[in-house]
Amino acid sequence: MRKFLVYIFVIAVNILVFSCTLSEQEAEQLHKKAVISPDYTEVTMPCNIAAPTFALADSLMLDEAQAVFQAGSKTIVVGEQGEEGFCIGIDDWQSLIKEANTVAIRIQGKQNSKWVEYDAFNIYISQDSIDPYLAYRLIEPGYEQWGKMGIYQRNLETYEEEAIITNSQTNGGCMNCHSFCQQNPEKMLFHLRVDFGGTYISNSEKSPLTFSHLTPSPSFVYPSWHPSGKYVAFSNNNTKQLFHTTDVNRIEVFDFSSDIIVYDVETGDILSCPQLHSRSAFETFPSWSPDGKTLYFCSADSVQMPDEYEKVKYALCSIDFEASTRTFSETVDTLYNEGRSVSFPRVSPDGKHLIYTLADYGTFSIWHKDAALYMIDLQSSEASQPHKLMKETGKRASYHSWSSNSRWLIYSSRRDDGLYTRPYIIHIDEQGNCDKPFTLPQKDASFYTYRTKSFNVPELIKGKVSINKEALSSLLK
Amino acid sequence: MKEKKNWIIRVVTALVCFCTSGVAFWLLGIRVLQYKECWSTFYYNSKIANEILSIEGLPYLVRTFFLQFFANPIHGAIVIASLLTCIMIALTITTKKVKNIWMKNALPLFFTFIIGTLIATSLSGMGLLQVFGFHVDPQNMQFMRLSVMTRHQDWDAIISETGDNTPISNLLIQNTLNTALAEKGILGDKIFDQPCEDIRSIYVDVIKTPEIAAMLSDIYYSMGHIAQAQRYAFEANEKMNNLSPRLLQRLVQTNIIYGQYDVAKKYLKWLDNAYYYHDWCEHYYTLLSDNTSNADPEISMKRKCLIEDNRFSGIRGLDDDLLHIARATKGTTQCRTTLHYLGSLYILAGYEQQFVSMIDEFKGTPDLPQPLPHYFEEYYKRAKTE
Repeated sequence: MRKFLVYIFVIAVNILVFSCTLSEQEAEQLHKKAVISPDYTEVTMPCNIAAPTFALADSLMLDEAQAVFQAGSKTIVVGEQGEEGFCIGIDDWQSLIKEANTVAIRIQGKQNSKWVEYDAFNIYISQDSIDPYLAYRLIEPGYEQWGKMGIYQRNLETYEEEAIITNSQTNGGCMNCHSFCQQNPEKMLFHLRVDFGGTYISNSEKSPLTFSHLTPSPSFVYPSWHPSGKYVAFSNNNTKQLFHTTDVNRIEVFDFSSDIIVYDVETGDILSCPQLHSRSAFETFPSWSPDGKTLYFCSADSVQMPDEYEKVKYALCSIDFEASTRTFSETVDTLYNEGRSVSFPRVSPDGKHLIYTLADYGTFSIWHKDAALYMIDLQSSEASQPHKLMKETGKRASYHSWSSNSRWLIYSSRRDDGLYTRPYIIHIDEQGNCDKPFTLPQKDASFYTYRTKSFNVPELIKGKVSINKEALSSLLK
Repeated sequence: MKEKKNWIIRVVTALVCFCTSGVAFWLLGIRVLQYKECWSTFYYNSKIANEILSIEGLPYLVRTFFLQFFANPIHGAIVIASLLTCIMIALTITTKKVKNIWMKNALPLFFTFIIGTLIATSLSGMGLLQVFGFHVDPQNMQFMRLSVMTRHQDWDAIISETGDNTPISNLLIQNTLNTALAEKGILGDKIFDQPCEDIRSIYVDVIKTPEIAAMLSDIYYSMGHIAQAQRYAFEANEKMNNLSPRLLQRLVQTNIIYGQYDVAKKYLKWLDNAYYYHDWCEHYYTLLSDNTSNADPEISMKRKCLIEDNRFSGIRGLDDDLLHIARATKGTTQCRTTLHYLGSLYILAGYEQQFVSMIDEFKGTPDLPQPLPHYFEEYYKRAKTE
C-alpha cells in the first residue's frame, strides 16, 4: 500500500513539474506584428527598472500563448496568465538584461493544435539608470468631489507602492502639489486643502521627514524649489473649472488671475517683482534652472474669463535671479510666443534641455487632447532655433519631470483611454534624441484596467521618502 | 417513534426559520437592500477585492458579498434565509447536549434571530429599531424605493407609488416624481398638483451626498443633458470609491454616447466582474463602435442630444442648453420629455417671455401637440393676456 502511494506521489510530482515547464515551440510564422498592451515593442528601458508585463491585445483566439524572451545566449519562456498576461519575474528579467542590451521577444500561440508565432519585437536596455523612486498623487481625474486620495511612492526597481500620506490622515481633505528639491527625497513640500489647509515643508535633510507649516500660511500652487533649497517659487492662482457640453476635453480649468512669488524658506519673506506680478498678465508655472540663476515661467495677457478662455495663450519667459541679493533682473526674455500656449517648463538637471507642454490654448494642458511635449536645446548657439516636437510622446502628454541624471523624463499622458493619466518614461540622450517611451511597468498587464485613478504629478526621486508620522499627526491636530 | 418526532420537529423548525427569514429579508430587500446594492456590490476579481480591502476593510467586502444578491431581492432573501437556516441547524447540533428541552429548542432560534438581525443591520446600514420598522423616516424609505424604480425606469410605478394625493413636500421625492412625469410626457399636466415653489422641484442642484449626485445624474440623463449626467455620475461614483454598479452603468452609457469607447470599455471590464451585471455588460460590449451604438435606440437618441456648438454646461443657463437639446431631438420622445422639463422650469422660474417663445416654436408639433398640457396652457394664456 505504501509503495503504491509512493508511486502515485512520484507520478503526480512528475505531471506537475512537466506540465509547468514551458519550452520554445517550432511554430509557423504569422508574419504579423503582435499587438500587446501596454505597448513595450521597440521601447528603451533603463537597466534598473522592474520587468515589463504585457498581454496580447489581439489573441487570434489562441488556445494558449507563451512569450519567448531571448538575450544573448539566454532564453526564458513565460506562459500567459489570463488577463494578467506574460509576467516575467524580476530576477529572470535581470538575468536577461545582464546578458545583452537587447531583449528579443517572440510570442507563440497554439491555434487548432498548431503553434504559430508573431513577428519578434525588441526591448532595448539603456545603461543609463533611472532614479529608483517615483512619487505621484493618485486621484480620480477631475471633478469636484473626491473619495480617498493620497501621495504615493513607487519603487521602480520592484512593483512596490506605498503611501507617503493619504487623506485618511487629514480628515479626508484634498492634497496636492508635492514637490522635491532636485529629486531629493529629504526635501519635500506638499499642500493640503480644506482641513489643515496650507503648505507643509520639510527642509532639514533628515529622514524621517518632519514637516512644518509654512507661515504666513499661503495657499499657493505649482511649487518649484530653488536648487539651494532656500527658496520656493509658487504661483498664486484664482482657479475655476467649467464643464464642456460636447468637447472631447470634458473640463476646462482656467485662472481668473495668477501671479508668481518666491518664498524665502528661512525668513518667511515673500519676494516678487512687477514682471512676475502684473495685473495685465497671468503669470504661472514657475520653474528654476538647475543653477538657480534663472526662473522660467509662463505668461499670458489677462482677458475676460471665462468668455475668452480660448484666447489665453501662455508665452514661455525667463527672468534672471540673484540669490545673494534676492533680486530679479528688470528684463524678461521670451523664449516662445507664437500663438499657442505653454505650460510646465522644466530644465534638465544638466542644464542642457528645456521641455515644456504646448497646447492650442489655456492653462490646463492636462485636459487638452492636443497637448504635446516640446524641447529646447539650451546650449545651442542659434538665437532662434526651432523648438523640437517630441513626437515620440504623442498627444495628450502634459506634466513631466526629469531624472537626476538628465537621461530620463517621466510624463503623464491620457493617450490610452483619454481620461485616466498613466506615467510614461522616455529616454533622452545628451544630444536630445528621444527613444520610444514606455508605460511604467506594473506587476501584471491588467493593472491599469483596474486602477480608476490618475497618476498625477509624477516626480522622480533619488530615494525613498520616509515621514515621521507621529510628528505629522500631531501637526495635523 | 420519539426519534422520528424529533426529526419532524427539526425539519419543521428549519422550514419555519427559512420561510420567516426569507420573507423578512425579501421585504427588507424590496424596501432597502436593493437600494443599497446600487452603491456597492461584490466584484469577483482579486485586484478589485484587494483595493476594497485596503480602502474599506474586510467587513465591507463581506457586506458587499451578501448585498450583491439583492440585485434581485428574491435571490437575496433565499441566500440569507439559507445561511440563517444552516446557522440554526449548526446551533441545534451544538446544543444537542443541553438537557432542558425548552432551552434546547429556544437557544438555536434565539441566536439565529440575533445573527439575522445583525446581518440585516449590517447590510442595510440601519439601526436595530429601524430594521423592525420603528423610528424610520417614511420619506427616506419612500425615496429609496423610488430611486430603485428610477434605476429600472419604472415610471408608472413611481407615479402610482406617489399618487395618493398626499402633498409631497420632500424635494427629493418631488424630483423623482417629476422625472417620471416628464418621461411619461405629462409633467406639464401635473407639475402643480404638488406644492412646487421654484425650480428645486425639478432638480436640487446641491450635491450634499453622493446619492443626491446620483439622482441628479438621472434627472439630467432624462433631460438629455449628457454632459451633466456624466459629471454627476462621476462625482457620485468618485465619492463612493468607484464601487457603485449603478453609476458605472451610467458612465458606460454616457461615454458610449460621447464615442469615448476606451473609457467605456474600462468601466465595462470593471463591472463585468459583478455577477449580476454580466448580461448587461455583454450587451454594452457590442456597442463599442459608432456603427453598433448608432443602431441602439437609446444611445442614438441620447447622442442626438449632444449640443453641436460646444459650450460650458449651463453657462447661458440650463434652459438655453435644454432648448438646444429639444431642437436637436425634434420628432423623438426625448424632445417631448425635454420640452416638459423646459416649460415647467420656465413657469417655476417665472420666465414668461422665454416660455411663450418656446410654446410658439413647438406648439402643434408632434412633440407638443395641442391642446397644450394643462399648466402650460394656463400659463401661456395668462402670459399672452398680460
